[in-house]
Amino acid sequence: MAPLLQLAGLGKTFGDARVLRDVSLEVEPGQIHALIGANGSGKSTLIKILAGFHDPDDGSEITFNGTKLDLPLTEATSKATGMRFIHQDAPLVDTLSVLENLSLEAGYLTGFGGHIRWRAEAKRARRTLESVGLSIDPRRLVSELSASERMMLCIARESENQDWGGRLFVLDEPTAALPSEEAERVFALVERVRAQGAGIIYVSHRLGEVLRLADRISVLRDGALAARFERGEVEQEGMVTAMFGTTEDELYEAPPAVVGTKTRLELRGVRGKRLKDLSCSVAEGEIVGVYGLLGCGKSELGRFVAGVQRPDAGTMEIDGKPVKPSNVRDAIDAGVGYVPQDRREAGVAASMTIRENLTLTDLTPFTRFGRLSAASERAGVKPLIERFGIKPPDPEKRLGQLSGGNQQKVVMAKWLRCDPVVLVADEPTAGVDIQSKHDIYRFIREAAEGGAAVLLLSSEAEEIAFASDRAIVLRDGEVIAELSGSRLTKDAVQQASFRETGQPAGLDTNGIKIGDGVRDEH
Amino acid sequence: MSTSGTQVVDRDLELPDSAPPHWRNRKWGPKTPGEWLAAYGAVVVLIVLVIVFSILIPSTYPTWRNAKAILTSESTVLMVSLGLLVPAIVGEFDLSVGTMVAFTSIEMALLCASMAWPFALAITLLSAITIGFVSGFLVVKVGVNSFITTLGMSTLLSGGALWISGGKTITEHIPQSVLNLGQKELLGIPLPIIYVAILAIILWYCFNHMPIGRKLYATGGNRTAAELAGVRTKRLVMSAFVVSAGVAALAGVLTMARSGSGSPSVGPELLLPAFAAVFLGSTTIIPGRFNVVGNVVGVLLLAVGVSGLQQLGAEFYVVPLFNGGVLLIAVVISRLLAKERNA
Repeated sequence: MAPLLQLAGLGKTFGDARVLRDVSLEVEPGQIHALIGANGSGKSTLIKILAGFHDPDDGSEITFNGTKLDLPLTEATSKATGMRFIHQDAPLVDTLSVLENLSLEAGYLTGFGGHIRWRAEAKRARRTLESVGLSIDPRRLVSELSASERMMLCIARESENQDWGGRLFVLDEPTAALPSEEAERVFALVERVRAQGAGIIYVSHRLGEVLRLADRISVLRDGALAARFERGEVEQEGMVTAMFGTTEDELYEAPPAVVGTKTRLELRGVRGKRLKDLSCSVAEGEIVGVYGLLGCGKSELGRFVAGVQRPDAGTMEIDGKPVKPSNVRDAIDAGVGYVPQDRREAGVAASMTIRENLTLTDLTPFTRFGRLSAASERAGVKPLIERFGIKPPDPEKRLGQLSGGNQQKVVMAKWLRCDPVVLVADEPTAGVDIQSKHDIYRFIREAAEGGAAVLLLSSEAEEIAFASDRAIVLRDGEVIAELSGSRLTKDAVQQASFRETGQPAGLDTNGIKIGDGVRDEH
Repeated sequence: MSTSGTQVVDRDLELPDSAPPHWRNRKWGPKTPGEWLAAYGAVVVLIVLVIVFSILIPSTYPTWRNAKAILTSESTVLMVSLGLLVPAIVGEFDLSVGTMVAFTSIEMALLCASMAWPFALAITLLSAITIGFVSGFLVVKVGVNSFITTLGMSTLLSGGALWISGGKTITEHIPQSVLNLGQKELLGIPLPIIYVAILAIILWYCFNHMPIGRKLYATGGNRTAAELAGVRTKRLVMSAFVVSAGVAALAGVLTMARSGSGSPSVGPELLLPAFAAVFLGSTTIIPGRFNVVGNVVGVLLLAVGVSGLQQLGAEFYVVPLFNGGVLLIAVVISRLLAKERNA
């Protein structure tokens, strides 16, 4: 079959930095071509060239459907050719309805005098939604949709009369913001789009889904094509080796955990909107993973401990002292550090500098007689930037200019520099490249080694199995299993979350009590 | 940990060749001529304007007398805009400062006729602070948009101003001691200039050299993130409205003392110029951030330009044309420079 898109000798130089060199790849119709690589490997540059934002170097060639395109592309020619770019941010207008958002792209059906034929519009919208497997009322506001529904709507509106054939879709981390449950629906749609004969370039940091979806995998390293695999030719191991030139194990070797015996964090009978009578304890130096699907209550647990939200009932003790944080400050004063789920929304101030973000959690070391000294901040921040490997190592860079992985390192650093007694990390590696991911696991481990009790909240079973000493699995606000030691594997964690309540797997007596389901049903 | 072979190409670290060598190692401040221009361009324009007008009108323009006149007449608008800066930093609007000036000028004029001025001043300030607190409460606790809250408050205050004044300008029984507050000089410098300078220095110190300033900027940068980092953002946003109301009341008292009258018509016309100065100020000195020095430069830039044009005999309509033009040009240039910076 003739390729839909063919890149030959694609290069890009910024100043004297060659960020892309001699990249050639082909995407055939009906094929999912995954593009993977660490941050800075040139993936974004490649996409931006296709989208018409960057001019490629001389000698680059782009052929679409057999026609050689005039370079550089503009946004308009890129679109006219049939290339569509779908980004994880799902750029929709929140205050408009689903229907209106669909029509923004397709244009409104108008009748006499230019009035909009709303009835025909609604019919068309319903057809489009059905075709992507979304059963939502087109009159609903987009702001009410879930993250996966938004993503699917973005894909839906790029169709022409429910047909995606002949187009090339570039999906840039479509599932980065989605919990695994919701990601499934997006996968199903991607498969459907492929079945209609569209070509797909799929960019993702999640290697599991790449293996599952991709017909072909291209690996970029330092701006060059490092490897290419056909479906079935490679496992995660091999992809990581190709991406970094090293294997995953070398990146981060988990040291044997030294878990203290002293209980640091003790929760008893905690209840909230989601949580039903949760009790658990975390020892000094211990990392307890909390796994569960969307809505299981793990984020709520994090917010309670961090003082963001107050529980309806239950007690919390840190080092044997009862703590009842009524706001975040109280929790911080009690020694809690909280890495929130949504980095952009809640983790960083993008318009402020690395220095300002790092020091905000505690300004007292840099304040003397009421005067905040920028010079002492700079001196205090320098070792943090080195220790956490934040790039670029310039304290005066604004955070918005950093990659996602580096932003997350800043979030980790701003808490770990306060030496928290209790660290709560809610999905700390979401949307972060593998290298940074392992750095973050290392930071969490270091915090535990320093004596902190860590709650690692995650919807990635692999992460839980890899990074924690003990795991509890939540479903519908209840602890349904606890796993540790050799029983703590990715499969066991996942299986446990599907098992019936009341049949806990590998329940230890130490600390975890199962919620009394019957009492909670009323 | 082996990371060989993952040499991440980082463009942000590369400085253009045009950067002077000794800038490359600077820890802070502008690192390239472009950044320098973005930060200090407005100051350069200000100096150039002063020089140009001094050459064109050598007999009256470059005189201390003229400088005093310009600064004194700008003191109220500068004061109001400095007050507005606080809500602006935390990401809120306060549209009620204009009518607050009117209301408090009348309140002060009425009160000081019957009591010693320190008491009159205290009551005036207290009432303004209470009103600011109500605005802050509505914004923070009730969750009403600050634009709407303060628009409503502004209308209420204009009604209140008309009510307590009976729609008239209050000039009777104002003691000389109060007039002195606005009309005397200290060491040859008119008092209004001294007041506003003190206010500017206090705010500058708070914003740039105290933890509270950092917390205010963080609240404006990302309120949720600031809250989660332990900043008491609700308190800060509430106090921002209290400060802007209090400072507007000071400006009201100052206007009253300077003119010897309290009037419902002074004040509202200060709102838009004060806002313009706040936004103009955010394009200079620390581009992209509302800042005190930028704010002062913004007010001076407009004042110097306008006074020079007027003294050159420009028509009456030139003033708003100049003000509007400068604001738009400054905002556009700063936008373009920011794009370049982040490209």
